[in-house]
Amino acid sequence: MYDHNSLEKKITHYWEHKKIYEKVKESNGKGERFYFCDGPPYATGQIHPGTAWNKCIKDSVCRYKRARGFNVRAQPGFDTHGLPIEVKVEQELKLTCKKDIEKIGVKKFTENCKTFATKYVGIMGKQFQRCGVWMDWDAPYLTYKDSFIDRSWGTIKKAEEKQLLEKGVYVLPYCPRCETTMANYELEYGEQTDPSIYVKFKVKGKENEFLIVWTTTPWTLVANMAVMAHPMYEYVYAKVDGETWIVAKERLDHLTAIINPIQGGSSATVLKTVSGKKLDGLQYEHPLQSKIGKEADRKIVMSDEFVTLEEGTGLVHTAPGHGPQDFIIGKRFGMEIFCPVNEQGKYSSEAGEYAGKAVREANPQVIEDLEHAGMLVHQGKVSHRYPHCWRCKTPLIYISTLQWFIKISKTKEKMLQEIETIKWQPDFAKTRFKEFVSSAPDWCISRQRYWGIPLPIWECEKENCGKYKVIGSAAELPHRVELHRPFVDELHFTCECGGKMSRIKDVLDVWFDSGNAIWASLGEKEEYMTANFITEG
Amino acid sequence: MYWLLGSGVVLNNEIPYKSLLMHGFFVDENGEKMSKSLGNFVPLEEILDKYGADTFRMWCLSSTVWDDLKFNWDEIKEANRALSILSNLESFMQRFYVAPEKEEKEIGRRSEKESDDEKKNAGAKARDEKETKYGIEDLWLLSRLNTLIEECTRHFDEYETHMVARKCRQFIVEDLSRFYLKVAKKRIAAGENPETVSKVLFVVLFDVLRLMTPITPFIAESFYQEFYAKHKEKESISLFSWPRFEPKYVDPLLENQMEIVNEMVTALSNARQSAKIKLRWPVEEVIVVTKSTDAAAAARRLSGTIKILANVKNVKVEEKIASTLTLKPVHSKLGPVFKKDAKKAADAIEKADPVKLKKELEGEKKKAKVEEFEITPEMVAFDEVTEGYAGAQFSAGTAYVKTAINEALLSEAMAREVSRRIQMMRKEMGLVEKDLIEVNVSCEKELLALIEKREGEIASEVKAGKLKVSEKPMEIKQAHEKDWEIEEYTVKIRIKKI
Repeated sequence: MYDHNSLEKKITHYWEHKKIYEKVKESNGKGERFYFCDGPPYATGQIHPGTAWNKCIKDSVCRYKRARGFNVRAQPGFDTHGLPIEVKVEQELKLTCKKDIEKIGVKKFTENCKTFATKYVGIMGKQFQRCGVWMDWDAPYLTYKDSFIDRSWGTIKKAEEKQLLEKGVYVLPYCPRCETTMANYELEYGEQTDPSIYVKFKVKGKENEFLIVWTTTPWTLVANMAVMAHPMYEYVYAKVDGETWIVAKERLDHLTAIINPIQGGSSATVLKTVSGKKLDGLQYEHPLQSKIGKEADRKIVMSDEFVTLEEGTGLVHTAPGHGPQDFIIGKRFGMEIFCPVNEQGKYSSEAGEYAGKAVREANPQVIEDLEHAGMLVHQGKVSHRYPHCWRCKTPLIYISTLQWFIKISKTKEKMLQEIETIKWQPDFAKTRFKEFVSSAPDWCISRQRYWGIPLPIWECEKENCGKYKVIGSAAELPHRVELHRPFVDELHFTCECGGKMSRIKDVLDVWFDSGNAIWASLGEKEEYMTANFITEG
Repeated sequence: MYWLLGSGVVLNNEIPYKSLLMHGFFVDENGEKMSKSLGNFVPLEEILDKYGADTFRMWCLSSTVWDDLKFNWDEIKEANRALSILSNLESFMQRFYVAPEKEEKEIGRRSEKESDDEKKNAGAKARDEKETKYGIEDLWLLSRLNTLIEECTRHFDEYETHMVARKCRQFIVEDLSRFYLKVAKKRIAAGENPETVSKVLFVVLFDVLRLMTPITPFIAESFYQEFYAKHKEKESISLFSWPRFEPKYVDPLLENQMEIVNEMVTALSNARQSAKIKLRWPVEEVIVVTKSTDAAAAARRLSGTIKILANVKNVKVEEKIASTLTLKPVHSKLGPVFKKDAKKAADAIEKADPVKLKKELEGEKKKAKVEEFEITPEMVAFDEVTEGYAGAQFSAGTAYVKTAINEALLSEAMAREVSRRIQMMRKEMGLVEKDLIEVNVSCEKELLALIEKREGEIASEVKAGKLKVSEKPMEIKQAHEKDWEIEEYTVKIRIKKI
């Protein structure tokens, strides 16, 4: 083993002392441009071997290109916004929720976030340098710089001009602790134990007929608006202990097996069998009607997409405000997207007696209430994979919220075309990427947090106006401020109608930051250009 | 990359990057993601402290970029070993490199590209080339080097960075260190065209350093600073351009032939092992038996290389060799079938005629009658034995070493080695032909036994008025002393001018 320690220290010192990196760059000054764009790691902590590997791959390519005489642009970048940093700063300042943040003030909070990020930029830069990575460490690009934010706003404006920017109500995963919506790629799946209950829904107009449904999220029953059945499956009317139960034929045995231990040897007698489509429109009553208060015309609707015979009962409890599939069905059949849950993940006043409770914590109460109403058939537990917040690890809930989207789906064709025009290494990466692009939904870019690129959309506060204004650069602001919350929140425009326009309080999805890196990181005098080379995991 | 694509299409209706290299995840030995909560996390600093940045780079950059990278201390250690070999090559150059009398310094003005400088030097280079007498191993190494340059260039252009790391590593460890250097050391010791060896290594290592700079920049720079900087004008290895591929040196036939020869040498080493002949003892003769004209041509053309690597005086190439067929009963197969008669069956087999038996067993019936026993093929092991030789197979044939150890040959070879070392020391001491010396050669018993009867021979060859070989070093006042390694023996030589 040779003495790597003293060798590497000596050489590092030599390179610094003799400014070798600068001399190499200078000697290639007139060479052909090679723009390498660094996918920025988060500035949240020490780098680990995987991040170092990524940088070394990049460094080897850049060094090769320099040896070939290219004028290599190798500016390292850091991702300095977003939930990762906010959560760490919350921990540092001992804040547990948004209320605490508002208490100390948004300005203090965002300042702390910036300080936190800056500290790690320095630490991480030194670690990369120790690995021999030759990049412009004295001038990295930082996503919190005004120049970066300014240029990124241009993309939002362009989206609006191309009619790709849209506001809409969608059912999305939501973290009740961080109080912000998440995108699919921000979900972390972990094992979770949840209640597994079978519930009776009384058929309207009949004394003793019940639909049997199954759910692992009892709290969502509060917002039940419908029940789905599969038009082609067979359903039975079965006599069980004096009651008539409607359930999918193939699930009857499973159901009776589960309840047998409790009811001690009861079995089911099939009275009649019908195909699912015969159940279309069958009305039922909500088992907790008196508790929830919400009146609605609840009935069975048909779905051949979302009803399965692998688990459950073949009759699916549908709450359009609490599940992406339920949302689709709700829209399709013109149901109300009923979501009686607020931004803190607590039931709102629309939830009747449950108002004020944190939804997941309300599970035991809901189960108890069902039991008292005589509507609980069986209660057990299930261990399954469930999405959690990628930062604070809290289990997520699905609720409907008003968010801003870039309608990527409209540009899918173009994206798939463009994918074919570049060099992919390895080839199968292209195939995988194309699949991903083909199935990607519209991009929800808004987040209800503090430390990020502010959403550059102002809305008129006047009742019935609702006009909004998208700005594409800081120059459009009434006066210059640092382009972060709370500073931009204090700026207003005047609407055409005369009303006051205030900024929508959201910030942008942190992936938007890195998505704009190729031009947002360029210097003032640099012209837009595409990157020659990127590499990511 | 998805967000880059989406934003690019929104902003400019195009994908904002021209090429994308996908890389895998960094995982633990079992393929699990590394995380502190899982307890399988290894901090970067630990790896860097233990082995350094270059080793980390050599290790991770050797892994297929788009596959997951599995953490493994043993592999990291291997990568470190490869770099130690490079470091040893630097030491070797420091000790043995002899600069040519007219050194051509490569003039490099920083703003100009290397190719311009090379044009200026091209004329001088061409003249120089004509005068250089390359040995066959030199040509082979230059071919391997240029093949390497071409491949690395292509791999980097295709973003197959792992191929560059692997191939450079293999060149350093196998082609340079394990193969060429062995030959080089022998040629230097034998005084056979050592300047060419020096020159070839100088050129080859310089190109290797440039190829290695993107992979392991620290050691490449250090080697350059410690050894090359005084012979070249630039301040850093990184100020030189990428090595130029010279197709004229690429000789696929020669590379192929050397590969076959390498196999033969390995076979000869195996043959030595089976005959219990140590590598340090020169063998009088080897016979390469092959029906392949390619293999025969390779052995003939590169017989010099075989002689050096296999430590043999003579290389013969034949299509076939006189041999006797012998047989041996396979007891493990006889036991279960013949039970208590197994020994009787074995004895019967041993008495049988090998040629006849083999023919019967290879015939249609695949069985033969030996005395009263019915024998099947797996019960007998046949071997072609050539008397006086031990053989081992390689892909195209068999290589044989002559087993008779010629002690005279051995002691002569050793005595010659000792003389040569003494001559080198005379030169170092600046002595002239007529200067007489007093010499003591001390070494371990085994070597002592070989050379003590040749004291007189050695003494006259090195112009020693007094020469004694001993086991323990003898005192000679104000003697010039040096330690040598001769065929794995350690020898201490003390000389004084008298």
